[in-house]
Amino acid sequence: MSSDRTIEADVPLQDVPLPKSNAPAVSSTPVPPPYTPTSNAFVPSSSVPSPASTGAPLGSASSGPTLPGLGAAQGARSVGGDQIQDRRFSGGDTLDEPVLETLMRDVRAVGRRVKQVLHPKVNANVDVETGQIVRDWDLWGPLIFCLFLSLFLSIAAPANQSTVVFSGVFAFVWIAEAFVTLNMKLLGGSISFFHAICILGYALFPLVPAAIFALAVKPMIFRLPVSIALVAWSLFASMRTLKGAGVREGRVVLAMYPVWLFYGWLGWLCVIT
Amino acid sequence: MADETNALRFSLSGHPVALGFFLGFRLAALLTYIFGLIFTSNFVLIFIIVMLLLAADFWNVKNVSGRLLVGLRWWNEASANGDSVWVFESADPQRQINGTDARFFWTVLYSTPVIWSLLALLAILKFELIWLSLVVIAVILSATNAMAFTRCDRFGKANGIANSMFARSSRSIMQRFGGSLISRLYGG
Repeated sequence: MSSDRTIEADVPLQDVPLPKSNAPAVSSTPVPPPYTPTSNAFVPSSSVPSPASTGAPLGSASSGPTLPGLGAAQGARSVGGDQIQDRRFSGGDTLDEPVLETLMRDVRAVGRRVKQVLHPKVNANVDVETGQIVRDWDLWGPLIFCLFLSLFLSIAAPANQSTVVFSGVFAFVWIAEAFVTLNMKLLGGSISFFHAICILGYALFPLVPAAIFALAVKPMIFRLPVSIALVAWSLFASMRTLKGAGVREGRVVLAMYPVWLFYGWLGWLCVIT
Repeated sequence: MADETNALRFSLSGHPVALGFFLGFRLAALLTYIFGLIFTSNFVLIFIIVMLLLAADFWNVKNVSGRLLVGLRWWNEASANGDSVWVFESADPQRQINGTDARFFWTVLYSTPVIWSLLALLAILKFELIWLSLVVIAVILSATNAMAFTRCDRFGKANGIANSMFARSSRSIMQRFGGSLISRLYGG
């Protein structure tokens, strides 16, 4: 289920071939002042109710540049099972913001998610500063942690196997994350696909030190407890976040079982390299 | 005169820095993949560099190049009930878009997934399955951007640019077919 909405600049109502469904709602929306290139109505995220949330593949769009005044859905239609919403952009223009602002918003979002994993006390689904529920996502953290994990495991592997180990671990992480998420969706979880992958990927973070530890310390007797502890940390972080993000109450164990397998297998890999 | 302003010449760009980064990331990823193993035999190193370049390019096109060069941006956000919502943002149609920037942007945007697809075909033929995984990721990322910006532009601002671009570059039937194909894509 994905849906679309299009934000269009407000000025040339007569020129733009809007879908029929938009027409009735236009009159009901307060008409914003006409856009002029110089009046940049970007509102800093703190003053806007919605968090600077909108993730997108690869951290991208946390651009969800806090759009002030996204009108309510003004009509929804269904095309081939996909819900498409057309909305009118009714104020503000974020296309003119400085590049540094775009960059820093995403960097801060990545930092916030890492902090959530590190910090067990914080309720991971609620933004610390604004108290808003955070539903944005990005894939920067999952990509970086996955690359690090694959890299350290491949260094630990015998030289002639390092390529296979690297690509194997890299592919396994992404495919397993997709399957675990699919399982959660099929069990009726109300979490978006990429949001779940984002949570699972960020929770990989504790496994990176586990892989480094396995590089430095050879005896299995030391590796095993450290690995178990760090896997437990990963599991704890991911389950806490996922549970709040909309896995059904009675099906938590069923939905979480593949998550245990996923982190457990990676932890075991860190032990046996 | 119109030809002058739309020419694919870097010096005519309205945002040379943005255009430089846009072309730089895309070319760097491609060249590192194609020529990487000449300078080093370390697969892991090349894989990581190309992967990071692809990710940087994806973010850059989506958040910076798109809005600076053609005034478009898209993103995905999760709604309260777990559906994903795709948001497509386009600038005021009266805003002046630099013709050179737009031509560079759309040409490179559409040719990159084609080039990566050809490299994927090559990897299949040479049976290099490990490299294939990297190329598949590149195809997915670049094609996602191409489709999303096509969808962004459904109000047809760049439609004219693309059509005239294709019509002007050659009068052959193949090119006309390509142009109408592109405009049909825009329509969707």
